[in-house]
Amino acid sequence: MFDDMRLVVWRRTFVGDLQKLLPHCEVLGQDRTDRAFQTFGRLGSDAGPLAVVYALSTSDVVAAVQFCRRHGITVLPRGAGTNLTRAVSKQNGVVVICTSRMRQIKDFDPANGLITVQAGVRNQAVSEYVGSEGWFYAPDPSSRRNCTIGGNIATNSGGGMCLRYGTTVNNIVALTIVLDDGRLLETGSAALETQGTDLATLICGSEGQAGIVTEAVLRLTPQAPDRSAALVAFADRDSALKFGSRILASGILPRQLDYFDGQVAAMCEAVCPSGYPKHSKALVLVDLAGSREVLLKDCKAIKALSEGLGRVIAFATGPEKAAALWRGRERIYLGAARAGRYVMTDSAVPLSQLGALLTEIDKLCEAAGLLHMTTAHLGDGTVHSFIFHKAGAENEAEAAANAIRLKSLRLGGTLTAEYGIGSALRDLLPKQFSPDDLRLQNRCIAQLRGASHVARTTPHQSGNSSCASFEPQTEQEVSDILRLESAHVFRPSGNGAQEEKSDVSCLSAKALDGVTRYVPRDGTVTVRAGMRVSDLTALLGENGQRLPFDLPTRRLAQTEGTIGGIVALSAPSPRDAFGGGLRDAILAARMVTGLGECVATGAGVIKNASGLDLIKFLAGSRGHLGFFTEVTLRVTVDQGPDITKAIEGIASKDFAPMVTQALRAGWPVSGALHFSQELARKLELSDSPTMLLRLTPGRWGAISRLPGFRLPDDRASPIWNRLGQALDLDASPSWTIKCRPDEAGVIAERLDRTGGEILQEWRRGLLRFAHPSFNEAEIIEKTLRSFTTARAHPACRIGAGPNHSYPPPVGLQLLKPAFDPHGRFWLPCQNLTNN
Amino acid sequence: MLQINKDPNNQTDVPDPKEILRSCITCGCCNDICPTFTVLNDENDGPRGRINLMRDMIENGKAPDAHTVKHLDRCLTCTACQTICPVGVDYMHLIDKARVEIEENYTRPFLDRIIRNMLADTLPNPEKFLSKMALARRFKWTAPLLEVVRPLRPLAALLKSVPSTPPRREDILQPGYFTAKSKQQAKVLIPSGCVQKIIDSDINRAAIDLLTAAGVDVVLPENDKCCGALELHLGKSERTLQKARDNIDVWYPLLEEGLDAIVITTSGCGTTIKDYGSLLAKDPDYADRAAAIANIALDITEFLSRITLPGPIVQPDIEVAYHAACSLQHTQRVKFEPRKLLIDAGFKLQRPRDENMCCGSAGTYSFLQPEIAGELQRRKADSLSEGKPDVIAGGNLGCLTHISQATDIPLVHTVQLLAWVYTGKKPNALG
Repeated sequence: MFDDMRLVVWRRTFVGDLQKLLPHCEVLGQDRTDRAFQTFGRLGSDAGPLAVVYALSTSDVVAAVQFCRRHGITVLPRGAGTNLTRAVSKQNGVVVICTSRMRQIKDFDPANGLITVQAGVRNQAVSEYVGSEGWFYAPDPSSRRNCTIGGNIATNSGGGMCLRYGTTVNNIVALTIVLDDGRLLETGSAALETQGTDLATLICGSEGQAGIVTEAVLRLTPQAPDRSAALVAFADRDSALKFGSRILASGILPRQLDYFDGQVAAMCEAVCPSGYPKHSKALVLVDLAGSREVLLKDCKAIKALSEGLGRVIAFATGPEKAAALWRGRERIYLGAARAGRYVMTDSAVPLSQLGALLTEIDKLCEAAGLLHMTTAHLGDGTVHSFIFHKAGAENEAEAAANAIRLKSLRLGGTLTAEYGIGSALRDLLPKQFSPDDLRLQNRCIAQLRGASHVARTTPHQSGNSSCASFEPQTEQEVSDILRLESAHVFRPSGNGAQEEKSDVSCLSAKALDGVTRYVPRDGTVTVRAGMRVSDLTALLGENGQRLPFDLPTRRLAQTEGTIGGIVALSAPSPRDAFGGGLRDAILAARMVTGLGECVATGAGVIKNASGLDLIKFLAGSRGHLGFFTEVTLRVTVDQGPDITKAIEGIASKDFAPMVTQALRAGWPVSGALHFSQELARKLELSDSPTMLLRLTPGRWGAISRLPGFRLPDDRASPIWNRLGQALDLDASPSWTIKCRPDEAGVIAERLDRTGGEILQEWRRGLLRFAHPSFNEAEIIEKTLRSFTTARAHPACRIGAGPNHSYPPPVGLQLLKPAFDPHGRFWLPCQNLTNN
Repeated sequence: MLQINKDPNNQTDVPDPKEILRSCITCGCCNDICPTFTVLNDENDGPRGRINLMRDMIENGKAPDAHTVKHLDRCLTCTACQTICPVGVDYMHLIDKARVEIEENYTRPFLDRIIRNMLADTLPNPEKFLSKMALARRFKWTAPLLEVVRPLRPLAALLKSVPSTPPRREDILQPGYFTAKSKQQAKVLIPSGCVQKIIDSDINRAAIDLLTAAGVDVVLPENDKCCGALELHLGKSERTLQKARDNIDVWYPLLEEGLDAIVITTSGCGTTIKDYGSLLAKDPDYADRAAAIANIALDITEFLSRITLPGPIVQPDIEVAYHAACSLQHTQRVKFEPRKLLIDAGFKLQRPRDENMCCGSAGTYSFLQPEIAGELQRRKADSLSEGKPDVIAGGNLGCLTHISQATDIPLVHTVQLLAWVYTGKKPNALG
């Protein structure tokens, strides 16, 4: 009784103090537990958060987090509370920090398709805001009307369109995060260039464990000029699945590609008549986007592809009609809810295993005596099963759902592709990840939270360690070497080439060669890290496929690079800005950490929301964090060599709007560069400032309609693949200037007047500038200091003047102790200390 | 003869509030469409939050606390959430039940209680309403003073809404039997109403003109009362039930004489009359009759779209912005009929932005929650006048008077515009 009173008084002062600290924010909870926040956990009766803070800005979040930390109170971030995994479940005595009132759109750059928003902005609101400029925000969870960007990032959410446009992690550029102890962390920058590791990819999908996202820079996607949809009916499920793989193999990349069974069709039809046939066993809905010309071709192709398998029921041309055909499918939750109580799964398997999983689901549900219906995204292998149950029999249905999830794991997939783990699936996590995997994930979280018990890594000093070369044959051997050879510091190497003057031991992946799993239908390939890139591309080529990202050809040619090597390097390429970077293609990996643990991360499917997504973070870690033994990559259909068009007479500040225009017209641009007059002359491109557009061949209209001339492949490919070398920028006095993308054009124009050679890349805010008689002071003056960083060729440095260098990636410093607490992997001192 | 095609499975049993609570899957789809959530952005002020707040009260029988009452009071009962709910939670009956619980188990602050009782006593009673209105007009100047004191703000809002020209007794439409002017196709009853008949009798006059011109006999009964909606939303359900019984006593004999429909010209009342069946389902004496009444209750626009209208007399060349009242579009799901009627009559119809948003009137809400109601009123007036229409049409008097305080564009009932086209009598508001 007395204790109760004390608690009430304490609570009142606590909440009162919090309110005093944040006078402009609403703080709930002064005299009650807030029942309204107990969503997705309707069990007990008197539990509830201690207080709820409606933050309005990043500084509010920082203040609230620090305050709670001082009082030893746990903080729980919350967006709109639309998750399906009991992520923000009721917990006693926590402070909920709600970002849903942080609804400011801070900056919008229409020429580069970038937007800076606060975490509480709704997903749909972003698309609405930028729609008039021809952009949209691609990740499309079903709750997009309500869910917030902050929540999307925390759960790495996505929907049906992820095959083409990627999930949230592929569409964020930079994040502002408030860590557990109130530290502010900024990852990336408005300039898209990310050198080395990208911490944002690790935060994305961490489900609020790592910190609270308060602001984000998002990458927008150009709206396609036209849209079409086709509905195809099949007599059996196998034909429908076969049709799906035929479409993907043909090179058509649909916006959405959905399979659903006849029952789902009837269910959707009942709530929203959209013309789905009632007596069909299986249906496939194809959603296509592109220019009208391409769509016509695609529709014809779909008709041809469906021959012998099924029957095209309807073609819908134009955005309105296509949307109308999809409307019924989009009401699937309404239909299911009307049909009864249900439990739903969202596990995913590699595409070639879809049939097996669907058969297994039928068997499982039949055995349990439960009614079920199924829909699947044929592009990414996600299967949604609605398992219906009677009131009170929820546990049986839940058990069947778990059986389906585990089956997906056994088929090489993931527990959850869209919703995340939350507290609903926490118990299943050890089935997907080994204890070592989970320990590593926990260490990463602890490190981000700044927990004191995690040791800081001491960077190794030169001369302290013995030097040798190792060439392990198996993963186990790698682990043994790391555990037993404690005198060495290792530098992972692809093919065993030692760097000169090296004082570290070489750990070569040369012997770890070979393909682990390659089924062309999957659209993925798993290889051991030591496989040569040239071998892999040859293998893929035989099957009409290719790697979806640019290969850093120069280095590969010199060193016969390996897959592990290019992943560890993750060199930036012009394709990054178009969603075609290496990070967008890497799905899973096995690696050995500094402690000798063999860990797996990611899953062999395109969409994965299970566990901490370490793999995208590891891309670009340059062997400082661990040793890759196996890598899973996405592959695409090879549609022939890219085509390069040179367009003359484009002023540097018109460059970005021009690229945007080309994208909006539906051209499949995968690279865009701009050369100043001097540089164009030097490369013998033309006599005026010129822009280069690289286009993916295959499905598109007549290239002649695009202005400019076509650059022959033998001249174009050196430019794309060996940018620095081809331009001779590495040799002459030059600067690399990284600035806000929307300022790149202006800075380029200003520098242009000096008659120097300037190269501009679209959307990445990256300028390379060379001038024979230019010094640092001048360049700072000319750019009016508006760049974030500028790296100069050594020859350009004058005295001890300010050397604006890239800051070392913050994530690498922060997480090194989690991966490699004893410093077993090389990390040159300056990488850690150079701030 | 005319067929009133109502849903044969018209639900007349009382929905169990506990069952409704259990049906909510707390997905949160409703928040974005909820007017109070969009204004206040607080989880407590969205449907999902309110449902969670009601849990203790309804599932565990705990007495409501001030916090719960505050947030439930802020609900407009526009039921937009019901329209969007993926699982079809019957929110309306849930909040009605919660209001009764609050009324029974919670003691409101003194002033609040007084004001609520006064509203519940005055508004539904035409005689009291007329006399109080005269009194209020005299004290209209005190509104800005009252506004300063927070608990008195409802009074200020009330005084502000009083029209400056007094309604004349002779303007009030008197009960009677109005015979069809052409070949009779149906016979209907129009409830004589409470507030509407004093503030704007022209609406019912226009309805009668139009119906009789279209060959419909109209009864305007003598002794019927307010439908009870006002008191229902104030949580005084016993009084509502009494009013419903009284009305059934008056209407049912007429029904037995042969009525095709009960036609309602104020959609807020329509919601309650259509719900008589489930309100009185537990009353053995009235259940059947209530169900029969509810079964033939139709909004005027619903009824008009089921009969043949005469040829148009006037070719209107004006643009109309249609304001969809929540009671029509969300609760009764009458969305297309009014629009189609206006288009068929030759009006140029505008589609205002955010159509599914409430205007903030919501019965007595505009008095009891003046801040939120004011914000919603401003937003609604903005979106309606965006296309610069010549007139705004709507199906609920409450909305029309509320919105008229924030815009200069004339507001009329849909039926007044239709009567103009088909009978030639131009609404006064259009000059």
